[in-house]
Amino acid sequence: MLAFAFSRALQAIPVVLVVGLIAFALFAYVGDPVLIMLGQEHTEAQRKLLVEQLGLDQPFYVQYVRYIWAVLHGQLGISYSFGRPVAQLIAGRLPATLELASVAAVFAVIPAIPLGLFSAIRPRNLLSRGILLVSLLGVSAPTFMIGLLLILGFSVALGWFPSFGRGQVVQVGRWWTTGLLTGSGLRAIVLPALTLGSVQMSFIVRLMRAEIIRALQADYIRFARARGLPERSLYCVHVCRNALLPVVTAAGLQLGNVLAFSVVTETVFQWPGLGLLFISAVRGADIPVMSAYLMLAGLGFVAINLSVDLAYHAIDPRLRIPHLGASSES
Amino acid sequence: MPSLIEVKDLSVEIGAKQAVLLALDRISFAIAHGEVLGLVGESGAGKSLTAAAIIRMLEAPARIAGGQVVLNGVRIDSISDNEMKRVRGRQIGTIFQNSLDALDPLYTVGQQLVETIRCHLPLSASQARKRAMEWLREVEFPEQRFYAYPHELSGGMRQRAAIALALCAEPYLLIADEPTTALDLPVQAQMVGLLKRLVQHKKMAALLVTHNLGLVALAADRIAVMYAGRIVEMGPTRAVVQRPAHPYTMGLLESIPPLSYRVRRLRQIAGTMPRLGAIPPGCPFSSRCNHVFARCHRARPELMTAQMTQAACWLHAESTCKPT
Amino acid sequence: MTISKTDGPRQLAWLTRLKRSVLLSSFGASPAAMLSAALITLFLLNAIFAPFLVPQDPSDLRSLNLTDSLKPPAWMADGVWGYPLGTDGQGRDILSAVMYGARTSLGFGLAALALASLLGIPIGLIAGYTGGFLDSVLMRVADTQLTFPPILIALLLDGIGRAVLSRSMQQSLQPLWVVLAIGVSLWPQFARLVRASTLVERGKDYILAARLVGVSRSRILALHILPNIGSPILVFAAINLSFAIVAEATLSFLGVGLPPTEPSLGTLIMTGNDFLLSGEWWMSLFPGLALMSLVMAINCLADSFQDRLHISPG
Repeated sequence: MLAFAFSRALQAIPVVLVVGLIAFALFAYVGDPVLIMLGQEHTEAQRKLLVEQLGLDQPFYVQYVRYIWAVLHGQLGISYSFGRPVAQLIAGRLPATLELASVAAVFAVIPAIPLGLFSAIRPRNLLSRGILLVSLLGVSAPTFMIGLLLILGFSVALGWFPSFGRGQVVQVGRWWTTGLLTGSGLRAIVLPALTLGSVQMSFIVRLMRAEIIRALQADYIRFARARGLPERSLYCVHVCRNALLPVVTAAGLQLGNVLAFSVVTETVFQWPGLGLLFISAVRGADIPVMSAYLMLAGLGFVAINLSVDLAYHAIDPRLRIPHLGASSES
Repeated sequence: MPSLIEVKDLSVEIGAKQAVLLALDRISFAIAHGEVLGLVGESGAGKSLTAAAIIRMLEAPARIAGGQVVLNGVRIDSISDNEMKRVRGRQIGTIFQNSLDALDPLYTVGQQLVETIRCHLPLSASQARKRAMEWLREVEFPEQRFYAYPHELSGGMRQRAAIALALCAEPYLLIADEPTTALDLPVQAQMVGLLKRLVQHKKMAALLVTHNLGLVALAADRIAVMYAGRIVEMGPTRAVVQRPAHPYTMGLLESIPPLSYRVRRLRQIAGTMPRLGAIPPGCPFSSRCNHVFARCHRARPELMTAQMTQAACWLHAESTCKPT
Repeated sequence: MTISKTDGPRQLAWLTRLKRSVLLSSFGASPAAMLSAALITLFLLNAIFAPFLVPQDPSDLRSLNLTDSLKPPAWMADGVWGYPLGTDGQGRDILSAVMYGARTSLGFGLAALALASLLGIPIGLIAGYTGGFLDSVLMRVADTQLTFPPILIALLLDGIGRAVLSRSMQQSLQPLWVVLAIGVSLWPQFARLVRASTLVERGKDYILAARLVGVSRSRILALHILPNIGSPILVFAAINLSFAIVAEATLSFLGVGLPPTEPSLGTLIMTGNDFLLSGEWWMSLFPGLALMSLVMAINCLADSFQDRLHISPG
């Protein structure tokens, strides 16, 4: 297991380096940092000094290595629009996004698995058809539309939840601010988390349904029926575990999309997280923030892929190192 | 000897309102304790359907249209689905086609055996484990592989594990539907031998479904030959193999490559088995039969005594003037 | 022996093939698919004829009447039938705006899709057919990009456009840049699918036969392999069309897509969004409904094709 984790981590390094290269290229070559930092009015001497300070006169690979080194030390440059270190900006925004994403994941996964199971076992049931239709809506509808509809229903019409912001937050430790400990914070997170979770949930429901239907047709399930296993253990022990394998993989990989959708969700609800920071960077062509976000997202996705691999490895005995004997043909 | 299972006029229909096809037409047979009945025929003849109908695991558009299945004096075709669940595994053990995929890939052989045993018998976990070990020994499966996952086993080993799984709750009847098709020839013979030994040893009965007449001849006490959803000949193995009465059985035997004696030219039966919708009136085999005569097209023959077996063929009707 | 006598499906009878293909035969299959097909036809007709059909030309400033601003839909208390779906803050007719917006959305979606397939299909064909070093390089690039969700790539490209181009150039090029950003964000999926299908097809006997008689590589790719992997690509393209439309709408909604001078459904929803909290819901809801029904219809139809073809995306 450890050896497997290690080899997978090694395989991820090139991807991180390539992403780092692109982030660096963005940082160093897109736009003219000198122009942006000094403004139009500057002397040649000022320019030369800054170029030397930034190391822009060094060859490409030296700059790249320096950049990676700086990133590893948490130095991500200065934001053009905020005039503050990017690392500081990101650290301030990270808790909001992580809280949103986790609550959304809870909202998504907990109902999705039983719903998917039900709609697969009782395909003709009216509720199943309803589940299927709503999940099609969930995967098709753009995230921001779901957010708008939720605001329209629960904020404008019913007034139950606030339509923007994070509510009151409290400081926990040195780095973390949380909205999960205050009433207004809890109320504020409901709609954004529902929005962000809805895509994920619809996706899992549909995948779960498809995988269970497939597992039900497998020979070993037919055989398990013929062995006289009771329905409950048939579904819980055999069908579900087999169906969950691909669901875990795909849902895990979907987590990457949660980051993407968080950009949209945070814009709709003015949620002060990383996504909102990123979108303002895109609007304002704030390259240091964009390249730092790229770097961070790349690391995040690599980490997600890695943990999905490891999880898969843990559930599926076929991936563990085989003993003697024939391996599976398929 | 009283029969353990008796199948009477079992019919199966396939299809919805507009087009209903009769896939099994009044199948009848009985199997006694310790006896192996071989059910043979080309693919599509309805062998697997017969097996599935007995344990009531027909796939959606197929359903039982009539007849009875009596197991140990109880009609299992009319009991509730829940009661049937207690019959499957406990009273009837089944091995399906593709039994290489019969094991759930995510659990060890031992886990699946213990699960099945505990589901049917009131045993503790450790007793069940002991019982599972005994069964593995019984099917000549190395006990130390108790903790192996299916993908770690060879085809033959998986087959043995599947047999152990089907038998571990000590059912009265074993239904083995093409149990060996995925295996190499020598392993097939081994496996059939093993099945026969187990059936005799445990005083079970077995229905061995296969398209391989040679294989069935090794293990079966009696043979029933199926064609287009009907049993066309039935009798003791020796008689069916050496003195077949139905032209179809003769054709099947001629198409088997002989193992022991010198190679002669193989013959095959002309044409293919008719589709369910296109079975000719009268004798279903009439479209391919070499001995066909007028009566074959007019009326359908039932099983009748012919030489040493029973055959559904007008050639053996007493009143017929046989054509030369 | 000539090529046309080899086992492989014929090269030229493209149209006949298409007519007999599963794609068209599955239309009669389900009511949902039929409804979707009807909706898509409606959107296509709207795209062609919108200028002749709209009650009011939204770009014609003379037709605007500020006293008619913020009218609710006609069936509500203050509504008038002259503006069936109400008006926006400047008195523009929402129905007309939605009709033009749907046209823009569909057009930009198709353009981005065309760019993605123009990039992805040849790359996939070449990678799958040649294999070797070129293949692994191309697929490595695709995989690295696939680590990121396409919408993030599109956003990033959009942001780069803002940084590289001068302000005036950026504004005039923005529509093109949106197509570029979405098209580039989608190519790896196409390349992967095409490569996988090409690999399968390459091993078949009719390709071997064509190679043996000396048909050139480009000819084999274009006339033999491409037509035979056409069906899954078409379905995949359909799924990605809905994705491209949503991506454009998302960019526009985030304020980095199409400018308000050329409003798509996404732009309309964004402008309407500011009025949502004060109760003028119709400005964002109707474009939103139009967008959702377009996307749902495409997905639903693609789903039913996919069921027929038994392929899975990705």
